[in-house]
Amino acid sequence: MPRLAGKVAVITGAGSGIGEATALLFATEGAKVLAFDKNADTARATADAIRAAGGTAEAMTGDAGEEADVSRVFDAAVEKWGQLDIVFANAGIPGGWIPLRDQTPERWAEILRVNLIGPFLAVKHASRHMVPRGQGSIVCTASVAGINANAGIHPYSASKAGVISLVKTSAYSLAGTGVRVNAVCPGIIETGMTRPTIARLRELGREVQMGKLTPLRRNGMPNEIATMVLYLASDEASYVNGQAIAIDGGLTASMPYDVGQKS
Amino acid sequence: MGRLEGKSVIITGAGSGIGRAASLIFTREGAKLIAVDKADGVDETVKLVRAAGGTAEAVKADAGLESDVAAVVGKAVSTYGKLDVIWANAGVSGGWVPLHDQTVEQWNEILRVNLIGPFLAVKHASRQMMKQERGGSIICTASVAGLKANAGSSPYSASKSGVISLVQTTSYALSGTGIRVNAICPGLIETGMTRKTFETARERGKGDKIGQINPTQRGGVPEEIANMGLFLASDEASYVNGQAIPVDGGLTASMPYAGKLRP
Repeated sequence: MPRLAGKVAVITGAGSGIGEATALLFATEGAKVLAFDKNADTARATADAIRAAGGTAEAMTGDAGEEADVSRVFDAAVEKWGQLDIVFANAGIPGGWIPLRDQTPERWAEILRVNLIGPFLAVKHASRHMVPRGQGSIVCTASVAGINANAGIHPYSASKAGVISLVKTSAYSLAGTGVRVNAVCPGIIETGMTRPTIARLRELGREVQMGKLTPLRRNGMPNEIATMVLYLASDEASYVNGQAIAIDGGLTASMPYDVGQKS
Repeated sequence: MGRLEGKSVIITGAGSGIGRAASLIFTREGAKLIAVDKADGVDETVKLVRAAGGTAEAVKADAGLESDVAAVVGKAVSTYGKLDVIWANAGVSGGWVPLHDQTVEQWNEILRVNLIGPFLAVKHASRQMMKQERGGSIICTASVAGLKANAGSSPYSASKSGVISLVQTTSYALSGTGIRVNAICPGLIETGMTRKTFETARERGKGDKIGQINPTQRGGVPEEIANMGLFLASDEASYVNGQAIPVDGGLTASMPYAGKLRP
């Protein structure tokens, strides 16, 4: 029996990277998937790929940091399939590598709007549909950048730290409702978002990429995040709540170290 | 096809509670099991596994004794030809002894079983896994008591903090081997170790109050920890390393709080 049989899932940022991989995996496990992205073409491509593989999916376009759009996507899922079981609030922006002194409040506000207020809106509006049915799983994409320094610029890291806080505070707000709220903290995963970082490291002549600093000595792939999201979305994770779980090859298990000097 | 199909697995503390639940779930998913416990319950666990059509052998051993741990790893190799997964789950609670009544002898025994035991599992299992050159997954049972106060006595909590540290340091010690080392931090789970807490609460007519302070508002069951173990043991967790993941209904997402103050 598929692990998400009969469940309805909304995934934001579903047009590429981790969101796309998760949408495809969810559909393989029996979920009906509403693929949401600000890019209409990639949202449609994800839904098409699911349908081509025999799954059920719809595409929808909108801004994951805009309340009206977020509210609308959950209403659409419920209207289409009668219920909402799973939300993966995954849409996010990296904000580039801007030095501290060049960062502006406008830039900060935009990153916080998408990366932090977006997940807040997902929790707010998804739980509206989930609480009356007494069940649901909300997963947000945070980042190892929300745990420690040096995985993103300040506003990106602060937004992701905020997401880690959000899943803790809102897990308690939703206490006793049967709705669980958790976050995944991807490490260095090869997606469109990290490609510029990886390119920048090459530009700087750094042969050692960040993924090589992990004990697994490699970057991760989107599907390796998707499997954790699948676990958290499924009923197998029935006692996992308010957590932010790193999938980072072991990166956050260490402070910075001199390569070659470990035990 | 099972999610652990063909894998050779050792589980210590398999005679009851979390270890028994994991034994049943892992073998249902195709694992071949060496079930280890110092208590007779391990024979019953193996009987239950076999009755369900699974493959298991029982070994009576002390998980905190180096020669026993080495012998258990040897038993897996002689029986199934290899070792893919070990779950160092055996532990003792040490009871609720007030600080000023605790003795060095009590501390030593708790640290021996709960912390040196997992160290020995990592040491001997990884030696075999490195010979095989196909990686492996090592799981240790830590506890939310290793993260914060008020989930166990001082030596129990310190031993579990040590386990969390152990998975961080050894994941790096095993860099580049493909062996992943992670811990699970169970919250309040109904097992032999916590039975007294549950029974006392029920005797006082407060059975429905158990776990109410976490947002899932109940105690957990062993299967909910075993499910996380299954995920970490499987290849789905291929980029999860050096982590200590709470399965606690959300308990560690909050500091202590006063009743209805949740926003």
